Amino acid sequence: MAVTTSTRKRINTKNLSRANVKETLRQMRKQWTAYLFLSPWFIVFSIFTVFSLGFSLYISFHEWNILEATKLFVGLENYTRLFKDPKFFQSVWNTLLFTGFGVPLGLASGLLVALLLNTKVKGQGIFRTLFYVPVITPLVVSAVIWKWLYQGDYGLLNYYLLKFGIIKEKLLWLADPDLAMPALIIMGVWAGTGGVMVMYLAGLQSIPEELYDASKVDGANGLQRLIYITIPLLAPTTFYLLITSVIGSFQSFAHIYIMTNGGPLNRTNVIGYYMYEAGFRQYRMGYASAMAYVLFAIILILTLVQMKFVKGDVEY
Amino acid sequence: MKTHRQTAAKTRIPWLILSLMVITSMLAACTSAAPTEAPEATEVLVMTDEPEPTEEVVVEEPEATEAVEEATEEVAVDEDFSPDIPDPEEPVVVTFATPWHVGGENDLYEILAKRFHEIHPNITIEFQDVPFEEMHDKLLTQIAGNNPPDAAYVDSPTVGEFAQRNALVALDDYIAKSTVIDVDDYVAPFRDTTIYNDKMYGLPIDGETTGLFYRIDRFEEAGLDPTKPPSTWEEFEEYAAKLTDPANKKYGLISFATEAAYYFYPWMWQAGADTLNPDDPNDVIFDSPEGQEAANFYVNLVQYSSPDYLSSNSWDGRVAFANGDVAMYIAGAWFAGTLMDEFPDANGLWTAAPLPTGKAGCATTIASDDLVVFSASKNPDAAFKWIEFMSSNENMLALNVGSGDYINTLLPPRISLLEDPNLYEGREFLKGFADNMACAIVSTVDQPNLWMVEEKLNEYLAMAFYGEMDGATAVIEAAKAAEEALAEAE
Repeated sequence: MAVTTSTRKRINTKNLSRANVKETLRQMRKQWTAYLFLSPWFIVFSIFTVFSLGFSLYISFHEWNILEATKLFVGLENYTRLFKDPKFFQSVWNTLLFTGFGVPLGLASGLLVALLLNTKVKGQGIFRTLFYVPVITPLVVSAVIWKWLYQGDYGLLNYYLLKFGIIKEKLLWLADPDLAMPALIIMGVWAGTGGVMVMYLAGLQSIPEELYDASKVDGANGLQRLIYITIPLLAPTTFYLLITSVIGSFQSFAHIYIMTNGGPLNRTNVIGYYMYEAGFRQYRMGYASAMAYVLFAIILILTLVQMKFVKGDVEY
Repeated sequence: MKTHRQTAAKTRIPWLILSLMVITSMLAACTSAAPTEAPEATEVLVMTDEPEPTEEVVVEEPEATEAVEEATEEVAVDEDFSPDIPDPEEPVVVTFATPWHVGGENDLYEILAKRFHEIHPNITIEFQDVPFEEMHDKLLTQIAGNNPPDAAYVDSPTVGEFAQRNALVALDDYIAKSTVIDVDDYVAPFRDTTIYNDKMYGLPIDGETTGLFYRIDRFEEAGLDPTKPPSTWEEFEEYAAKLTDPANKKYGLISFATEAAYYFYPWMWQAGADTLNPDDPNDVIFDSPEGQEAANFYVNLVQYSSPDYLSSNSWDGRVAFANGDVAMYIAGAWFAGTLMDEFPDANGLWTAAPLPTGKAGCATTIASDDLVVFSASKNPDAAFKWIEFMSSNENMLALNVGSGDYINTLLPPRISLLEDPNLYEGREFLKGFADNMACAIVSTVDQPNLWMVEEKLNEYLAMAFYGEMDGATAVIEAAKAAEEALAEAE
């Protein structure tokens, strides 16, 4: 049985020839009011995003201490220095750890909650709201609260873990070099679950009910329905979430800045934080910009890999 | 029937799971309200490696402030302190950035600005409020955008940093015309931190030394005499050991890996070691036998420290001292003001003393703040007149010990003011901090990349704190890495 869904339309990007460009310009002239309304956003975007992007690329080939106007051209030195900097490699590794564990866990927990909330459960609206609250809570606020939850002597987490006998001695969480990263990952999953849940709920609701009915007739049980219908049909959502979560995770900064400052022993110093250190602590703007472009390259490559190997299209 | 029951069961299970999840997270949310009562929660954006030098404090001792007010009234004769620098002919606005301006008619800064405006009707002061933790980054961004304020209150490392980058006005010509600024009356180490290439770029406005704060109650519990704080290294460790009882969450002292280098310096100097070779700014010498000895002693102290705060900093850690978990706390005089302001319940339970001394005698770190004028200012003359006004004897005094709604526990960086015994009324412990200025050590070696040395020292001492190496190895490795970094930066 062939079912068509409108979850994702294929865009034909093959022939963007001159005629197409002309056609686009003609359309733009025709719908100039739309562009007029778009222009405030577009101007802000050009100044604060497009210009900054270009400027930081320019800076990445220079030595600039932000205080003086002089920008000494150093060619690729910032880039070559990066590849000799063990602290940079450590920050890349930390970022990979944070992303490699954080993103899959975040997607899984979001899916789980979405599946539970997709049933006709009592108080559905309340649950959805509650799970979404962490998303709209400013990260700075939740980071401060989590910092206290993780506190060794007085932290609530240790209190319950000790009370229920799950651990015998207090864990230092953020102060322990081996636990700080897992602690940040757990907090990240908590903060991201709500957003993932909403996307999955939308995805779940676009799966046609007939498929479930048909599979029930065929005798498939709940687990089989989940594995053979739900998860494959959620692929476009998963694909979108994977890409956005990986990018978001690579850019992590705020909660690390508040909870660990990259410590202990640089174990939680991710690229986003090291970039800040280089730029605003050590005034090496060129170096920080070079790092930003290396980060961009890493994200680009990862996204291309994902696009190649993770299928976003659904075939029925 | 059957199907109905099945669906009911099906919806009940997820409901149960969800409820459980929500209840647990709500439990967490509710009970976490208790710890947030501690003020740490509101102060998370601290990133400076050094302790905060000043803190505004709400009045708690009306007697002391009245005395100050009276004193201010007696001497408050406002006049133009530099008639040789002409006032602007047109009305101008001087912008001034400070973290301590709070606004309102009782705010000392507002009062000063008003009095200043009466003498100089053509100059109006406009405050730019900025949190202390973000002050540095904000000014930096403003300088980069060529839009800094006319004048600002900054900490002394910032003066050198900005001066080096031509962002500040050299004040020597102005000072020569001033009737209230006597360069020789400033405490030398404080004055010297404002000098770059033989020119003075800031007017020291407040200062402090590092001392030892300790809990009287914890000393008594441990059978120690609270009137006799530890005076030698051996005593310090002995006391720390007696005051440590991890099973009851009680610790002798507190160490911070993020500030490992900053709090190492006093011990290093007391052992007779130093950071850089006075004859060769690229020669790092804290790996000397004395330096190694100090590092071993210093790292060994971590066993008496609260492990929870190891990755924290001296600002966040104040809570542990305020509630008595930590018995001894090495910090600058600013710490007293913070305790009085935020933890009035602990008043009378703590006091302070000079740091213990080592075999090379006493030594302590100092910190100070200065008033500066930015070179991008369009009204540098007017801006100078304003910072000069704040630097007059009585205004400087008011800014350091407080006036009206504003009290403070810092030391005026002026010799004539420090010699006045009235300064210490009601806060006798401050005398120790003032006397300790004689023990202040300031590096005179000209090394613009000193921060790289400190960064390496911090990195390796932190590793030693976490048991990855001993103190001696840490300073040896740090010296090696620092010299490499300096050579590469050349």
